[in-house]
This record gives sequence, C-alpha cells and structure tokens, in this order.
Amino acid sequence: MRVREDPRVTAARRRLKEIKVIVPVVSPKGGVGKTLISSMLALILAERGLRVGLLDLDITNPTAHLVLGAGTQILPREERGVVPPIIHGVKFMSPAYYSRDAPLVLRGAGIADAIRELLAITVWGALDVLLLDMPPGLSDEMLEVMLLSESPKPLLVSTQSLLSLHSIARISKMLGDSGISVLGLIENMALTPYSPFKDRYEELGLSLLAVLPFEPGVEEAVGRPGDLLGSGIALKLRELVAPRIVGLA
Amino acid sequence: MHEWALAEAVVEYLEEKRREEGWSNVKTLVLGLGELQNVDREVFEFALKHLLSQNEVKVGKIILHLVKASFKCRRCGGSWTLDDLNLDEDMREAIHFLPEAIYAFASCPHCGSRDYYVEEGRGLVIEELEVE
Repeated sequence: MRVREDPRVTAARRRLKEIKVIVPVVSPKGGVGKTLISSMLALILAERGLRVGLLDLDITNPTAHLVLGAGTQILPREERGVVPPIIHGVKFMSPAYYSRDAPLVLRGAGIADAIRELLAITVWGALDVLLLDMPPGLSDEMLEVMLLSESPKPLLVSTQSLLSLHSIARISKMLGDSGISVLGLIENMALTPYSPFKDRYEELGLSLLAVLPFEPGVEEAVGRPGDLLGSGIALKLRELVAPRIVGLA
Repeated sequence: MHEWALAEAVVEYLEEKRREEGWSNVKTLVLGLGELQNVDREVFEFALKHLLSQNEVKVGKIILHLVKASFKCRRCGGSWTLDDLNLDEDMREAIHFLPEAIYAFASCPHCGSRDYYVEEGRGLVIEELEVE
C-alpha cells in the first residue's frame, strides 16, 4: 500500500523517551530572557553533576550558542547520528551549526521538518534533563514538542507587564487543556522584588518560582559561561529554580 | 554515520506499525531518498539491512530510489532544481544533516525570494509498505 510516511516521528519520540525530564523554556513575548535563563539553568544543572542537554529550538533565530560562547565551528560528531558537542558540561545542539548562523527563513512546515530532523538524528545518550530554548509564543515549535515528547514540563518566563500576564494566562490555559503540567513561572527583568501578579498566578494554578531583577552586568557576561554563573541571576536560579528540576530528575 | 540514525528511524517505524496493525512481515518496502538530503545510499542500505537482521521485523524486498529535488517559489511561481543552484561542499554538508539549511544558503534563482518550498526530494520518505 502507498503510505508516504515520515519515519522521523517514531525515532524522535523514542530518543526523547530516554530523557528523564524535558523542560521547554517558554514565554508569551520575545525579549524576556528565555535564552539566558535556559542556558544558565543548563550550566547550573551541569555544575550540580546532572547529565544535561540544551537544544535551541528557536529554529529561525537561534542564539543560545552566543550565550554559551559556543560559536558554530565545533560541529556535532557523526556517530550513528550526530553527537552534540559538550560546552561547559552541557550537551549543546543548535540549528545554527548547520545554518552557519545565516538567516534561516522558514514557514511552519519547514520549522516542523527541521525540528523532526534534529530530534530524530541527535544522539543525546543518557540525559537527566533536556532544556529546550523555545521561540516566543505558541506556534509550530511548541506544537512539535507536544507532539513528540510525552510529558514536557514547561517553564514559563514573563515580565511584570499586564500584556505579558494576559498572554501567560493564555499559554497556561492551552497547556492545561492539553494535559501538560507547568513546572513553574519566572518573572524576569523585574522592576520590583515582589510580583504584582502573585495572586493572579495562584488563580491560574501557576507556581511563581523566582522574581529575577534586571541585572545590567549579565549582558556583558554573554558568551562567558563562567561569568554568567557568577551573576546574581545565576544565584537565584541556583537556589530557587534548579532544585525544582533536580527534584524531577 | 548519520545514515545509521535514518536507518534506525525506518526500523523503529516498522516495529511500531507492526505492533499497531498486527501484521507479521513486510513483503516490500519502498523508500524514497530525497536528493536534497544527499544520503549515502550504500551506507544507508548497509545500515538498514544490518539493523533489520537483528530485528524481529523481516523485510522481503527493499526498493530504494532517488527522488530528484525540485523547488517552487511562492512569490514569483518559478521552479528550479539543485542543478540550478551554486552550493559549495560546506553548504551541501550542512544540508545533508539539516535539509532546511538550504534556506540559509539559497534563494529563488528567478526573483531572489527566500519564500519557496521543496516540492519533492527533501529527505527520507517511506513511500510504500506491503505487508503480510
């Protein structure tokens, strides 16, 4: 019979099943610090001795390699698939290795194809945690993650803005309707140390894990993992967020 | 080799289908290898046969055929093939691992747009499956 089927879906699901915890780092809007937070959490968890992977799923605009100072010169090694390079203890995979950091203009179908390809061929080996640096919003990337992984634990990142709060409520509803439980929420670039939306998060059933202040020095540490790990934000992530992930792994 | 991961994907697909549909063996398996992905046919075939020899799923006949890559521009409607593009070895290697990387290296040869799609011949596809 004529089937015209895609074997990569089966392979991607099998590979993801071998990972204990998958944490997509999600936000309703761009520019709230997802890439910094997902990269720093990966470094912190690796520092604690966990086997950690980080996959940049911002397919058309990957930047996690810049945060890690990874460049795109050290490419994944071929061995019954592709084995991601280890950057500061983190197995790191990115479409930037293959796009050579050039603009990658893709519509939805192309994004889904790229994600399936990466997940089908990447040999992570045994991992405790795989962090996914997601693009903003809810679109093809998140739908693919929900299609291919059984029980992802999304970590939401937002700011202290009413628009972000509104969007967080939407994301929370969509994930809840899909039977996905959220790991928690981080408020980043906060203007006040106490969230003005704490009660609203509780109504939404979201656990506020950390309120991270705006820290100008972090920008200068981009590309230098050692300096990033010494930042105030890293201290808070280490104390307030990492234990929640360690508890699941 | 990357071809092994693709062969593994095919075998895992067959295992899953067998469990779901309850058939015993595959009489004929027809696979399309997209020209864009540029899979090493010999390595892929060796890997597939090796993996199947260690698996409960038995496949009588495997047919592999190359599907020529063709592209179509959404903006001007123009069509082209890989032969019309000037891709160096480095680009071809990147595309081998991630076919979507072509969007980083090539635009429509007629109007320069990056808004095009691969009509046929992207990568590995299971085209036909005859079971018993």
